[in-house]
Amino acid sequence: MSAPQTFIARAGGALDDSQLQSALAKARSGFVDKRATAIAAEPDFETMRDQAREVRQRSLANLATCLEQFEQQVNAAGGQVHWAESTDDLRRIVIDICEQAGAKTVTKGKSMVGEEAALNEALEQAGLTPWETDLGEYIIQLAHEPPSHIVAPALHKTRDQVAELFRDAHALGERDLGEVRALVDEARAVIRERFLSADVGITGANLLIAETGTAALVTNEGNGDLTARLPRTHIITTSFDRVVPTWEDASKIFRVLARSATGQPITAYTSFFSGPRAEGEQDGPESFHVVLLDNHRTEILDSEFREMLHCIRCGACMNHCPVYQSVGGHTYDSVYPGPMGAVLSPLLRGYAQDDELPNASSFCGRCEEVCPVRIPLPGLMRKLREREMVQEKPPWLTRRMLAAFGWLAQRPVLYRYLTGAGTRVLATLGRRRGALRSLPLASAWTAHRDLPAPQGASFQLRWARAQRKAEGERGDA
Amino acid sequence: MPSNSDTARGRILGRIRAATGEAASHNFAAVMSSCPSRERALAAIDDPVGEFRERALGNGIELFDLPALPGLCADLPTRLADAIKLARDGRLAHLDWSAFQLTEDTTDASCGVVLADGGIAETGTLLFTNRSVASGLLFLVDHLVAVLPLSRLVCRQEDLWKAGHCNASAVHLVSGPSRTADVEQTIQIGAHGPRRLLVYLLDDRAQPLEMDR
Repeated sequence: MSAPQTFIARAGGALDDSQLQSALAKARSGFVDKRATAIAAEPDFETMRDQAREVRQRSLANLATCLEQFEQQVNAAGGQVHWAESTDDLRRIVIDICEQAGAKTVTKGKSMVGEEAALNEALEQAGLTPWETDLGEYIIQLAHEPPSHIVAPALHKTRDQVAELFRDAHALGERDLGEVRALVDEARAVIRERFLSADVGITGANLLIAETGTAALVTNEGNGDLTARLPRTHIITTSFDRVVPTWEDASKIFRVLARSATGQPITAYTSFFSGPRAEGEQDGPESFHVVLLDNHRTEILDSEFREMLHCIRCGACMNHCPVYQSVGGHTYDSVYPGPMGAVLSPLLRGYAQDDELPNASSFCGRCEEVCPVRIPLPGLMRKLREREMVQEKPPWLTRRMLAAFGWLAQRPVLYRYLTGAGTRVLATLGRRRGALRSLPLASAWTAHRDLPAPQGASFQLRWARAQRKAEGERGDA
Repeated sequence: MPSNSDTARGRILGRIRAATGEAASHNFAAVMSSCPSRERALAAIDDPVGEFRERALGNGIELFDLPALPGLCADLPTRLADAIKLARDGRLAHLDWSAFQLTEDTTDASCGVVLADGGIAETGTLLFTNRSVASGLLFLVDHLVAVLPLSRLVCRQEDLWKAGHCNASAVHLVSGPSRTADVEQTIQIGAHGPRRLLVYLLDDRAQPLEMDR
């Protein structure tokens, strides 16, 4: 069954999906509260954000210089850098490396670039067996679904759904999978064997460090390290915009990354990989490859959307987004959901239906407020809306309504009169309950919530009264 | 030598330069020293040991004080279950391990005992490089026991980078036991790595432990 074509249709389905709503309800309080606690405990957090933002600006301003240094250092350590202009190129490069290594099995750590390139499908078609090792990625691999969140890929699944997937996938007989503990233990046992036997390990990278040709990886489970260090070949799939100049710069990003993502001061593991095992070292892969994806990022760099490349993939914007919280990640029909995805997806792939994504926002501004590197997400979405108005004429009805609103908004007296009248009508209708349960022409909206009835006068009216009162008091003095 | 536009590398770097206006022959070190950070610095950490203790406990690390290194082998059995197979860091091989069942195979060990190459107060973090410790030993065991000599404790990450801990093919910052919240946002300890992380703080500040790598 394929998903409906429009955001609005998919959102309707998501709102009616009680299992999804139950999973989203748990995530909502989890992420938001944990971040708030972590930030309250860190008086320097605003300085940390400023430092992180500056690192991202400086990295992108000197991007070619950083990337050449990065490549030179990887080569010097005995590794290899590969450049992929498209997701097709990335898939081909990764499969070539696997074939040259004579690989049959591949363990995988979480890589959003791998998801962007649909790497698992390509590996399977090439006759390889990809094994996801991050618990969330493993769950959605079993379910044959894309991730619904960039940090917690299986956020949309309830524990009962996970238990059912495990029963289908693991022939382990009768057992109690009612507790999360049992699910985690079972995944640990199944995946442990795979870590030890895989021919190739593929991970992503949270950052690339130019000065030493290093890929940095942040995890809580430890799966990334086992994927990177145990197989003979380690392949890193990432995009070139992840680069920062120095280790000091990387530290500045890590300080805001985990606090914003999971509310931890630091994740359990932060690891740095620089080439294959060197002489005198205890373990590590024999060959080391970094694949750098472009896929339209050079165009973003050269556009008014450059700040989107500052993103460090923490997921705070989607955790705090009322739209994401209500409809979940799959509604965005992209591996990058939420506000960051609403900007990034149209720029990376430019599907016609992506024009809807920047419109799936109430512009409440929380995404910008929580973004650790202060990306002006609503501003970027607004620019995309403007671009859409110019390039793709919206439907006739939308244009007429916008034109009518524009006409009205330029006539303040009439505007005040009509909004005042509307307010009085709604206040009268909702007087008894303080809220309206249904509205004509808006039943889809009121099916899921009530509209609070207006209380008293409009802001403009009250502001004018307050001004008059203040002038009156000054006059008396 | 193919021209720049013949390769994906040349085309990508060409487009980046067109966007950023960087010259083709920029020297990395010179460019970076020409644009230092102008942001405010973070507050100083006055009591690194106290900060480390508080943060480590918050990360789920079990903390113990170790007056002298040989005391480790006497204390360890009181912290671990019986019949544990133990793999140890070569730098700790000179201690008396006669009371333990030892193994060299990290895939067979249920407990790993290692010496940390560094510690970071700001997040209660340990640093290991694979010059001294195999990555497998850190991640394949159920229980990880680490000795942190306090002479190796610094305030912030940057202090360890300045001390030259960046030159190994793998550098691991370990800040707690392995965990996951991928099922219903419920935190579970012991995802793929150690279920317990025990850290012994060894006060060697009067006479620092030799770095033997």
